Amino acid sequence: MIEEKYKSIINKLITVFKDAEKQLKHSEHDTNELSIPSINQLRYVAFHLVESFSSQDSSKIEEELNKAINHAQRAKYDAVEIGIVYYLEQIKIFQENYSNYTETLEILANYIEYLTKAQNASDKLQAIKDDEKDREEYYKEIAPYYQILKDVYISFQTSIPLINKKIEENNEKARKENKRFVIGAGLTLAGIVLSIVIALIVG
Amino acid sequence: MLEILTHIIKRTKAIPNTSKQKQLTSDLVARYSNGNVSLQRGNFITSSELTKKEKIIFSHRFI
Repeated sequence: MIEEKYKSIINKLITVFKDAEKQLKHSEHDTNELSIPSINQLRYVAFHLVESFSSQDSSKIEEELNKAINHAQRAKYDAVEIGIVYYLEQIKIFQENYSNYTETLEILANYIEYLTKAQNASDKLQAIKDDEKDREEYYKEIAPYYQILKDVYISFQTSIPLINKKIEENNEKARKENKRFVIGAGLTLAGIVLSIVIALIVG
Repeated sequence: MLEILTHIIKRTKAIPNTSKQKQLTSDLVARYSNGNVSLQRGNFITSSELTKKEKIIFSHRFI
C-alpha cells in the first residue's frame, strides 16, 4: 500500500517513466536500433524503486524515489538523443550525395532551410554535451528537434526519386544537345571541305 | 593456428578479430534478449557507439 505522502512523487515517476518508455519505443521504431543507454537508465529506475520499497526510513524512501525519477528522465533524454543523432546522420548522408546537384535545389526549394535546421540541432546537442545540467531541462530544449529532423529526413527521402528522375532527364537533354552539336559541327566541317574541293575544281 | 603459434613463439599478443568479436557480442545479446526483436537481430546502439557517431556529426558542417 502506497502511503499518501509519497503519492505525488510516485505519480511523477509514473508520468516520467511512461514518457521515457514512449520515447524509447519511438526511437527504436524510427532508427531500427534499441538504445542500450536508455535501457540501462530504466534498469536503474527499477533498482531505486526496489531500494525504496525495502526501506523503512521515510527520507531514504523519498531519496530513492527521486533518484528513480532522475534516471527515468535521463532515459527519456537518452532515447531522444539517439533519434536526433540518427536523423542528423541520415541528413549528412543525403547532403554528401546530393548537395552538388542543382536538381536538388529545383526539387527541394527549402534545402538551405532544412540544412540550417540540422545545423541548429547539431549545435544545440553539442552545447548540451559540454554542459552538466538537469536532463529534464535539456530534454525540453532538445525534444522538439526530433520531430523537426524527422520531417526533414522524410522530405529528403521523398525527394530522392524525384531528384534522380530530374538528373536523368537533364542528362538525356544534355546527351541530345551534344548529339545535335556534333552533327552540326560535322555538317559545317563537311560543308567547308566541300566548298574547298569545289573551289579547287572550279579554280 | 599458425598465427597463434607465431605469437606464442614471439611472445606477442594476437590482435583480436573485431568482426568476430562483434558477431560474438550480437550472438550473446540475442541469447539473453528475452524476446526483444531489436536485440535478437543485433540492432542496438551502445553508449560508446553513440559517442563515436556524435563526434562525426559534430565535426560536420551542414551549412
